[in-house]
Amino acid sequence: MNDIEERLRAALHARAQTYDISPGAWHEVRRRTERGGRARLWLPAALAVAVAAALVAPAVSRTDPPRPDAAADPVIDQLTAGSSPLGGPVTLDDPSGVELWFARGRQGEVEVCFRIDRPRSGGCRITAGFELSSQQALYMGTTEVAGAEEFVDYGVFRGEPATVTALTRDGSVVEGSMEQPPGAPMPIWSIPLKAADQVGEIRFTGAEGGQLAVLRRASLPDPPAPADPALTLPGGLLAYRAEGPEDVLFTRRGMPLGRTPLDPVQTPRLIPGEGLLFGVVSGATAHVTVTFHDGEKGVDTVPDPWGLGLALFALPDGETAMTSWAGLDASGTELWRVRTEVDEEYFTRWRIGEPVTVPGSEGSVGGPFRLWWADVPGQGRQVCGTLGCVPSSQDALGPSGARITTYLPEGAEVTRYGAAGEGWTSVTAVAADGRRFPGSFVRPPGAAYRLWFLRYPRDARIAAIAVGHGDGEKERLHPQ
Amino acid sequence: MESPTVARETPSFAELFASQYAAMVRLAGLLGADDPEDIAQEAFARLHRRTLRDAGSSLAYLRSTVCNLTRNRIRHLRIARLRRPEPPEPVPSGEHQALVAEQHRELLGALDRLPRRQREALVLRYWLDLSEREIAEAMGVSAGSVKTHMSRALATLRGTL
Repeated sequence: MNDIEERLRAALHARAQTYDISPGAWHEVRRRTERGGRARLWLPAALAVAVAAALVAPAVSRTDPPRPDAAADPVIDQLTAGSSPLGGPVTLDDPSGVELWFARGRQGEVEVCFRIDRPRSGGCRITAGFELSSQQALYMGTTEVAGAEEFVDYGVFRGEPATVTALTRDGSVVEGSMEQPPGAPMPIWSIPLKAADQVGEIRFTGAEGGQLAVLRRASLPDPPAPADPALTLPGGLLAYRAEGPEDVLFTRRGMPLGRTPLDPVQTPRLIPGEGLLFGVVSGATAHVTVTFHDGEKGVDTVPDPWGLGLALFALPDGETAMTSWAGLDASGTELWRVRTEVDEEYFTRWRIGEPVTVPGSEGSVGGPFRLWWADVPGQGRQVCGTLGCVPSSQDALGPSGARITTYLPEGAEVTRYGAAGEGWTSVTAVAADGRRFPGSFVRPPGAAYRLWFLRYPRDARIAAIAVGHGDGEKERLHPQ
Repeated sequence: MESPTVARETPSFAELFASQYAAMVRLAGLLGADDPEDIAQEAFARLHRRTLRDAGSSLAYLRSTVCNLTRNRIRHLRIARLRRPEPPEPVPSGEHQALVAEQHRELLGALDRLPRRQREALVLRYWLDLSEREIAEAMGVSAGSVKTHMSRALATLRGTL
């Protein structure tokens, strides 16, 4: 496979991860088939379905069990703390007191945050996945609660503000609004709706009347059985049985966040969503710990209220990638451990020697970044990083290679790396304004060749990479 | 993390849904659908309403349906979007996806600009790892056409990047 094919594979793999899967998908397919009028036996398939459905997506529920009183929920504070606002907030005209704003997270990422007073809820959602997708409008949520006659749906939009409308059951049009406070990276849209309107779609129209986007309001999760108790978990999360009741459904402020089966012998199941990690484990598991690249978090489990001998948990997600999670019994003995390391096998198949960590990348989002040499069949030596491989042009052509943009707390940076030539003694990024950013070399353990890397601020305009050869010769400039 | 699915010669509809729904959503998205979930759900609904002569061909049927529905949807939207402004450049953000986007933006942009059939062939080959025969089946064209689409697409990408 050549370079373009390898890059294509990696790019498609990356983009594919940006498409969310709605927890209500199974219900929606079932609704469509029933609508088609052809009777056919639906297999009792909660377990199989949950494998696909236990993913996270924004979706709307029209009914939801009573919300927990989240007045004293430190997890909600954690979910919105630590971000710096980008522009002012937008307060929606709704009794729930919902407020939305953009923020820059601890590590430079852009987030859109919300806080709702009644019932109390809040959180932030990183916008990168939305930006990478081909979607122009993002549905973020609703203030709808069980029995509410009026509520507001809201989200964010890319591009010039557009007209937001919804068509009601009787054919009348409801108008929403868009607002982009100064400093906010994109507009926030909202639309006031009534339960009686049975709105199924929200439409976005451009200035010239062209349709820009359509958001569907998803079908309902099954409501809980009336006598079946719901369980309140940290973060304003509500768990109740549905589908049979062979599944447990997790919702938050009216939004289904995930669904997973209740096994007789419970397989540990963990679902990420809205800044939380939550799931179901065996009843013997008294404590769950999650290990991230930068540390560990833990939480005590809560026994299920349905007498199934299971336990549930919820805790805030970490800042870096998760590497494993484990269950401990009441005495602290580890009962099981599930490894969840990011699938780097794809990029590490042909590794030569041990990887090295890019200095300074430990604190960056998605970091730390690692580099290594690889001997790819048919392509020879390549320089590989956590995010992919590039050919090693370590000949006289000069510094070519890959770049990674990181967003550190101190500001965004670009890290570039590649294969170093035999006689290179220095590598320096030279900015158009004359600033110089010296790089350095590293030889991964066990590898016969060196790698170069350098870092500079993301806003620096790099005019050339200067390479020193240490043979009395001046630096050679390689224009960028 | 999840328990392995029990292997059977012919998976039930629910097992097929569990194992393939996410892939079909992503296939529709990669092919350019504006609402990938809608496409995937409709494909599964059509499969459920249909009795296939060969039960083992369900997956091929799904792939083909996703391709067709996406194609129709894009055709439908093309007229509505004639005056649609170009989306703005993504603003910097810090999630892992943003880092990936930074690396792949140019290539993905070039992929999006390819003719529809060429883009389909590349997505089916390099994301789903399908053989030429399987791609031909999903696209409803001959294996020879697949070869032509692929080679032209790769040549365009090489020339663009």
